[in-house]
Amino acid sequence: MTGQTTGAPNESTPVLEISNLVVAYGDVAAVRGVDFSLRDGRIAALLGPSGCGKTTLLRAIAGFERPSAGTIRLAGRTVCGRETWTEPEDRQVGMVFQNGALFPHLTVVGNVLYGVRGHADAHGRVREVLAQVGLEGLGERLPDQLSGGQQQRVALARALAPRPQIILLDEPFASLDASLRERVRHEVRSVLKASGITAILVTHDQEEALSFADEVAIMVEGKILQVGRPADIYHRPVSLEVANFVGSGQLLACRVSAGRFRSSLGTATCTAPDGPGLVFLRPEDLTLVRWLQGEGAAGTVSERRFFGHDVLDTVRLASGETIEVRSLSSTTVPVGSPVRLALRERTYRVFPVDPQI
Amino acid sequence: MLGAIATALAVNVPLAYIFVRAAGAGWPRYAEVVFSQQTLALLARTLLLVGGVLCLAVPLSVTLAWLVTRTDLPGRRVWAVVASLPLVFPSYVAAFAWVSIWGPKGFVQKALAPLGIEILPSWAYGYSGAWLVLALFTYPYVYLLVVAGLRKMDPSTEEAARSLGRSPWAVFFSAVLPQLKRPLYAGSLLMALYTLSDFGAVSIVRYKTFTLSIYNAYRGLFDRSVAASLATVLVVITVALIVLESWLSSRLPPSQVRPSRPPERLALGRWRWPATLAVVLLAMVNLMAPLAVVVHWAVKAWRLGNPIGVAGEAALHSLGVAVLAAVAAVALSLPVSIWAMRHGGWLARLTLGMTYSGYALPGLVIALSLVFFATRLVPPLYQTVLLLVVAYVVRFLPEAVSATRASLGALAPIFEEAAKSLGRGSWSVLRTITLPLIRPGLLAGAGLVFLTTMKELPATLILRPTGFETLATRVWTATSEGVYSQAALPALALVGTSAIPVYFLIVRPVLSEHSR
Amino acid sequence: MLRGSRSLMVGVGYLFVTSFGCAPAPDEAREAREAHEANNAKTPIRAVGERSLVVYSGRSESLVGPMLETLERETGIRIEVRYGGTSELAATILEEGENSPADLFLSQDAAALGALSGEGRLRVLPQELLEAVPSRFRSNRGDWVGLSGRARTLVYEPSRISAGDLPRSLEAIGSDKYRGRFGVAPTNGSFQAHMAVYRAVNGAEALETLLESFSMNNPQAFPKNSAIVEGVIAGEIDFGLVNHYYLWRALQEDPSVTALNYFIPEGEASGFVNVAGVGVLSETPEALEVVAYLLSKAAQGYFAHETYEYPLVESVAPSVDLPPLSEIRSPDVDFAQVSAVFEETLEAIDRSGLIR
Repeated sequence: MTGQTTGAPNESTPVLEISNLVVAYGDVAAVRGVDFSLRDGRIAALLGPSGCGKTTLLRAIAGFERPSAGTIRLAGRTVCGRETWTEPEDRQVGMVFQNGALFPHLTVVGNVLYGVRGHADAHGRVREVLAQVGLEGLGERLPDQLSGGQQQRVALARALAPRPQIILLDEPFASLDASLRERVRHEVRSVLKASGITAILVTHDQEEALSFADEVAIMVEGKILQVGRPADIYHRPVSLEVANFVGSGQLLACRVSAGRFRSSLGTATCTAPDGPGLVFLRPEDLTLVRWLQGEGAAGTVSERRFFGHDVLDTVRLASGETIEVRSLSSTTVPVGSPVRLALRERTYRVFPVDPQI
Repeated sequence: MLGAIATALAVNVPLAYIFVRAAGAGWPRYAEVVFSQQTLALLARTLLLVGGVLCLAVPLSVTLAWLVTRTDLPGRRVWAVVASLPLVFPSYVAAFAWVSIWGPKGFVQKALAPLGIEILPSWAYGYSGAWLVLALFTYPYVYLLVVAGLRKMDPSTEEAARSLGRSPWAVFFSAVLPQLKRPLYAGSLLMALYTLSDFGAVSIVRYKTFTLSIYNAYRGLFDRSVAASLATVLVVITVALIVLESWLSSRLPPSQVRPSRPPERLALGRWRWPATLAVVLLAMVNLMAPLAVVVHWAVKAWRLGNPIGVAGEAALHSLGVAVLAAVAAVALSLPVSIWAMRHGGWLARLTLGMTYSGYALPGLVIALSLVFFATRLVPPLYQTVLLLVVAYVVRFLPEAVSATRASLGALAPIFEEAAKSLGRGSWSVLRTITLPLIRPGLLAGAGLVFLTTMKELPATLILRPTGFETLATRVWTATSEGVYSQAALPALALVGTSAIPVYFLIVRPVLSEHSR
Repeated sequence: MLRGSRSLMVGVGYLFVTSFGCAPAPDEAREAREAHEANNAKTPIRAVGERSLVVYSGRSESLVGPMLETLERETGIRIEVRYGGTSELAATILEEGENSPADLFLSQDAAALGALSGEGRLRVLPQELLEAVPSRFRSNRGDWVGLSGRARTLVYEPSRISAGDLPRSLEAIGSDKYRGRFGVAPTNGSFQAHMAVYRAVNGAEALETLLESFSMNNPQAFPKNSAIVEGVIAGEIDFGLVNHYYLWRALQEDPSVTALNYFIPEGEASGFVNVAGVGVLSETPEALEVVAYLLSKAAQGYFAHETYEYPLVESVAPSVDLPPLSEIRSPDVDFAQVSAVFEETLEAIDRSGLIR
């Protein structure tokens, strides 16, 4: 099975083309036939649970893993194929590692200079990238004198300095404090966008993938299940597996006829053939109103989780099913209150159910 | 890779020699020697000694390491260094000092005699003597690794155990000790192999092991195949121990990263002074006493007006060959270790294992094997410093390989990958990233090879250039003539010059690890 | 810390350089060997300055060194001496085989010479050299010659045991009345050689019986002969089985010592004179010159004076008051034969329990 691309616009030439890639350790295949391509200047995220093979795929692109089959082309050049193999140092691939992997015995400048030593105006280039990541004054520090966020920015500067074809980021924000993560992520994205470089981010954090990337590839058990824009991935997952992995959601039995489905929570438009199905609902697809007469299904709030900006209510329907609903936290509904639920109007994803099962 | 294989093959010259000699006798004779009751008894004696030494040295090392790293023992920084220093005594000096103090005719008996205590049991000799000397003077192999292990351990696991209601005692056994398995296995292997190949101590306290028996067989002179046949058993034991250690270690989780903060020190309370006394007593037995004996020789020599041998040139020779051996061993340990640690595969593991095969062989066997091959294949090298250094490397390469392996293992490959992704080739990465980062480990390995080379005697005697004196041969010359007073100065110089690099390369880096 | 180890490395580098300065560099050693090989090839014309020899000496430097220096001065032969343990050097020569750089082997005992002789490594010596010493102190094959003799004796303390009460044979030491009163050095080469001779003369069973009788009689085991003598002087034991000259060495350090030597009068192989000797390994003519010198009155006198050992050349007298060598009982055995049973002897000693 290969990844399905949804809503892919067709602009420039791909910087990275991977076809039918397999990476196996002994009998176990970590990457099991992946096709993937990425166009110039785009940022992709490889999103998947741990152990899904996303890091292996990234390392195969960088040349640290030897695939057992398939090809990798970088900027039109085959770096890995049936009879070609380019060593990592000759691939012009920049890499930002999980903990930065700054050389602990070299200063910030020493680290950044490492990849451009011998290039024309190497020091100028070092100053330039350090300015890009906003670390001009810290050149003489050693890595352990830097904060986690600063370390990651140095790692990025170091990877950028030799002007690689592509930058690979291997869970670079995982070790940062939650409060810092969002900010560093934004800074890194800005730097990448400003330098117009193509990049791939590997992460298991769906929020990170969706907010960081221009396109997201969902990888599960060594295969890419879906590639698409963050919004498409989020709202229109191609399969239950993808749906389950990206954000919380719930499936509700429904029946489709003529482009609309009907369920216990009401009806809305969808893209699915007529017949029985399961509609995929995000918690924010529902609106919750305090018990009043009117539209929608009746239920009772059984649990409320407060997240600051929003709240997540668990509502037990009269039918016994439970549904999660996300609302702004200004909505005040005490636990135990009777409520009504209504579906927002949009085009939903319905997975047809084979009636024979 | 070729370098690694060449190194491993070169190091196995003694094995080839043993097999040539053992095969020379023919299978029936070999079987007669090896599958005899005497050999079985010898095997039992040898293994009993190895087991006994470990059973004493391991708890001793762990206790000392724990006292100096985790408690408020008074003077712990000093004791931490002192506890590692017995390593600088060559086992023949240690054992000699031992019997001259504790023996039935030793200082202690002489001091006790006026008090009417007529007979000290002869526990200074035989099994008990060999057991105590080897355990008390070689435990630092384990101790240093355990100290390093304790320094690297994240104190939060101990705190977690405390918070779950365990006493400090229980925490030690349930949370600390299990995390020390890796250094304990590695250190125990080194000690076991050292015990197997030791000649100095067992010959002086007269406990027959395989090594002593092999020496005796050479004294028989007629049938070198007997010595070689016995040596094959030693090789088998060595391989078995190495396989056991690597199997045990492979089942352990990977070692942790450096902790962010130093651990809480446990207040010893009323145990504070008894613990201090125990540490002082130990230092008196395995550090002050042998030093006192050597100083006693020196004083005696001075009183008798005997010339105290000038040790200057011998000291320079010792230092020179020890430095050469250390540098060569560390350099040769690199291809083998990098190949095995970074690329893996059965061939790499086999090559790595092969570098250990000769470690437990007696120095005499290694020396004779080099005599055999050098005179036949490269006569110009025979009796040169170069061949002597080759012998040291053959004997002690595993010490360098262990250190290099361990530091490569502790270095995440990520740094090397980062360097490669920045466009540097393998050589450049090795030079600019790998070597600088594993430098402390390499220096420790070099320090260990340096130390053991300084102390090495049997191979030095046989392979040195004619007239080439080292401190060890000076000590030997004097003691074999019974003129102990002349052994004093070279022995002191040997201990002194060993102590300095051991402190700077091995002990201090271990002790200052977390403050780096 | 980094700076500290860097300066250490510099220091070590310095030492490394100086050490090479002091050590014979490989090149020099090679030149020496090449010169030596040229000698072996019997280059017909040779300048006097080129005369050189390599000696492997199992005898100690303090003993042999000064004498060989005299020899160098007198003969103009440059002598390189390699000191080591006798058996280690013999094993080395055996492993070196035909390529051995050694011209001459000075051995502490006859067994090592017997072993080399047995493997055909020694060159037959001219008759006039062999005949300088009595036939029992040289090789039956004529390929080595003894230089000095060491007699086995009992050292005893007359204040604790009178000469009349001492055992009259080796076997008598096993008698009950000596229980716990005597010392042996079971790991010492001289003791082992003596036992090997005993075995060669009396057979395996007799040796087993003898060792067992020792062992059952609760002897004190010492690491070496000199320790036995010290033990006797200190009164820890009444007598002990040693070589004759250790008492004289103790007397030199402390003239007030009252202990005496006793030569066991009865029994086959109760007494035994071991010899230190010399064998020639190469065809170099200078080697024979050295052997001749070692058998000269001057050298024999020197040995006797320095070591209290018996000179083997009959015209030279021992340096101290010893019974004449001809009166010392020593069985007439072939040392090659003794060597052949050496290993079994060691095993018998081990089995006996004398060494724990």
